Amino acid sequence: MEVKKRGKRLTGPLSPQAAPAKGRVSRLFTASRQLPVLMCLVLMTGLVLTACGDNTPTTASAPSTTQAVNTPIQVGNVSSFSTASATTAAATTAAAGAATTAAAGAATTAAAGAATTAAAGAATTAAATGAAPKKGGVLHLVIGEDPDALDPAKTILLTSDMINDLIFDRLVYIGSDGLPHPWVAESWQIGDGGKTLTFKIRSGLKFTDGTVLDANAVKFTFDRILDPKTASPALAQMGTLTSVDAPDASTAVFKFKEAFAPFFTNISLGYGGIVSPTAIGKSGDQFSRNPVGSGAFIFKSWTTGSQIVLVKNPDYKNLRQDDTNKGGPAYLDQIDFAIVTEPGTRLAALQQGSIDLYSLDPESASLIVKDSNFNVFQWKSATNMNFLEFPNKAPWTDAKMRQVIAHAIDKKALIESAWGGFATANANPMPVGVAGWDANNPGYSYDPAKAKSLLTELGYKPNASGMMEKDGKPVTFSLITYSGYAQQKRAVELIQANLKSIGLDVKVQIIEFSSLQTMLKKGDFDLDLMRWTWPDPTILSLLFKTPGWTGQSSDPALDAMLTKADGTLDPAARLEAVKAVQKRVYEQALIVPIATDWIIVGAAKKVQGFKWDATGYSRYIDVWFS
Amino acid sequence: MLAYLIRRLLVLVPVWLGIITLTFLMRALVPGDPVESMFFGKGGDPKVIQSIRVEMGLDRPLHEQYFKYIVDVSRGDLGKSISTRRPVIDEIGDRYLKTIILAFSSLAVAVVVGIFLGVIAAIFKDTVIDTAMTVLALIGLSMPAFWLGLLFINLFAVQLRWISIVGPPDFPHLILPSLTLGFIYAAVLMRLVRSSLLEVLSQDYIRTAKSKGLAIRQVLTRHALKNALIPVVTILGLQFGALLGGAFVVENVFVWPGVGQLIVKAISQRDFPVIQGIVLLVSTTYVLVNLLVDVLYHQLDPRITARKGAS
Repeated sequence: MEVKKRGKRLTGPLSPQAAPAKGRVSRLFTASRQLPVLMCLVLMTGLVLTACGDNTPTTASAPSTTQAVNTPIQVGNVSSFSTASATTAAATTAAAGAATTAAAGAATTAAAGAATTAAAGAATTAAATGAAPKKGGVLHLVIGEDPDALDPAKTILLTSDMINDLIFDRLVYIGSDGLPHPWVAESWQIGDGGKTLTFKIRSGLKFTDGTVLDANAVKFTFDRILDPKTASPALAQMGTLTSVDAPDASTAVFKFKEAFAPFFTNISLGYGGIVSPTAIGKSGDQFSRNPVGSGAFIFKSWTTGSQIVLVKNPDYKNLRQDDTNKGGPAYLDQIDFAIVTEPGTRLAALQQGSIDLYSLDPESASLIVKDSNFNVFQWKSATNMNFLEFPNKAPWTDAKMRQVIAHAIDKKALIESAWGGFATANANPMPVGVAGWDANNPGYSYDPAKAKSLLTELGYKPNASGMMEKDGKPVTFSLITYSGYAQQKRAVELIQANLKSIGLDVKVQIIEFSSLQTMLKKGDFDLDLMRWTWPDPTILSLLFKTPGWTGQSSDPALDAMLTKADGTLDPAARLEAVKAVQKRVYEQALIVPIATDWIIVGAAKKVQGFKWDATGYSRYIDVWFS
Repeated sequence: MLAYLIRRLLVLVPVWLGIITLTFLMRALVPGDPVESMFFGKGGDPKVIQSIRVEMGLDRPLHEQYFKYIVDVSRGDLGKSISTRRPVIDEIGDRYLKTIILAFSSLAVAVVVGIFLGVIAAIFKDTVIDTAMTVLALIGLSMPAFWLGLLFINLFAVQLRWISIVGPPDFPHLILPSLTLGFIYAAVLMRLVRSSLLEVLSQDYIRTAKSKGLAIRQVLTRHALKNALIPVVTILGLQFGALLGGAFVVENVFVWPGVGQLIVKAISQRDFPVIQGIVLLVSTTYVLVNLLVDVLYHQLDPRITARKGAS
């Protein structure tokens, strides 16, 4: 009966029997209120289809290069590493790392290695490994915002760091063996139980303003970060560093209050960029808009909100051994960074060809992977992790309750639905690509029955509708995450469903990041889905050392273990300490690790030689155009 | 007239005070701290955090910051950005001019398209053409600016390749954002022009004009349109604030380096001095545009000014 009624209402006015054709048309165009809406819908659909039409060609072939899709990072390419070897590399190659370090301090270098980032994906195009690189060309890149400051001492923003990486060289870089290697520093020695680090600075180095880069410039750079007047956001990365001396032009002595193992990784990142003292003397506060370093690229211009241009440093001699392009300047003449805030526009710019490389989210990746006009690069053993964390309040102070959640989460399904399959399941409380990550830990299995039985042990009972109650009262938990990312949104929705299946009622809140911070600090949540990126095992300290990054951690036993891990400079011993921490965090289920999402870059076909280094920097010095 | 203008400009003072008070209230109410936001999860050194707080005056009670800000603004100093530590005026730079250029070019598109289509719709009332105009207006009213922008980008830049997405903020790069925003506001105007014109066309003086034997074109341009535009001008002024808001969104979709990019970032970073600086500029512009609209009234209908002058 109801069906009939509905049918009548829908078909009535449009039915041929309802009115003669002419009258019907005229009435439709004059009187009907529904028609404009209908036409509107048709037109909008048409517009959408026209605009989207060619993006998903049914005949599109798979990308012709293979470095992308669903294969492990290529074996056989110059710098490729599998995830499994990556996790053990730092420990097993510590000795080898020492051997390959050219300098006198070789033996101590190994000790200083401090087990940092394990191998990164260094996938290069097949063409790059075969053909001779060509010089010239402008590489068009895109960033999502203006940098805050192109001055290593004045920023911790990733966008700024990415550009500073190209302008400023550092004392060391972290190789794919997870160990520090000589860059501006030729060698180094560790003394006083790790409290003194003496770097030998190479001679003959120059900043791009023509002034000399020597130990005095190194001292100036780090003094500036240590100076309270600078209020350097990078100060925390210096750890226990107290002072830097330059007894002569080729020696820089770093003194520490306590041994600080993450120091090598930290100064290998953009924060450790050596700045030109002369340029700072000249520019003062304006240095961050007129940066001068000794890197492969020279800052040329910055049009606020629009573009940043870097040009090739023609006199550059690449000192890094992890690049294909050794000894020489960059192949590219220029790098233009367009500032485009809207992700949809960035993707369109890649499709149009006005940018050459773009880091893709899972949706865009699915689209570009199918498009034969692009190459796709994937870094699977990346240094990020997505995880669920808990507040320091009941019932989450009970490890068993946290394990309930660990057993209830279906990571495989999450990876498929939230990250479109572009992620690696993670059982450990560390990113997959960081040294010390335990490949042998199977993790908490997805086992809803087990989760339910743990809940029963904790005194929860299902009510008539199957939802859990405690002490006769229904329970509802809040699951929060930050806004702006479709993958986070999909993930929390699935987690909510996972928990519902074991009888836990969960309310999801997706909140803008600054507001989320306040909630995290207050402990005003039950579960938080978070993503962190850090290339060193010290990520464990950053997350869990009391009071923890959200102020929700307090475990004196764990603190002692973390202090040991951060203070152990011998790489093998440090890895052991890291693994012990990892084991405790895992057993206590302090967080529920979910996945390391892959870093995916879509590139124009002409882009050759693209790769990441071990800490995740794109090495544009190796890039050339075919 | 001059006295009226001065009186209207003086209104800006309480407007500014109101804006400053509201933005400071917002600081107290909205969760999130700018300096903590900067360092959250990045292991900020407590000494550094404290020294930035002191440098920015954030260590002082809110009411002290409030009065200091009022004094500073009266001296023309909008303070320093918390995230970049550069003067707010430098951060805004010529971005605001770019936003104003975009807003006015969109307004121009909206006025030309809106009035033209509105008149057409009114003339061809209750016909297929009128319905088609209604459809266009519905699309314009219901389509979010960012979505229409992305569709335009996909169609004109990716499929047809008529224009480069990335490039300097020059005239070619102004076309698509102006069309996007202009089209959406044309939809509002079109409906208004149509109904206003229809009302005027039913007046006695129009019948008189027609009976004198004037051509329909002359009736429209000399008698009807000028009168029909009075409510349209009111709405133009009132809608200008919304147009600026729309410009903020469209700037982010198109690569147009206006103040929209900056305020979105400033809000997410809780960079209050930047937010306050932009809000002050926008509110000032809004007041000035509405003043301009009131002056335009005088040109269109002297009776209104006479009444205002008497009051």
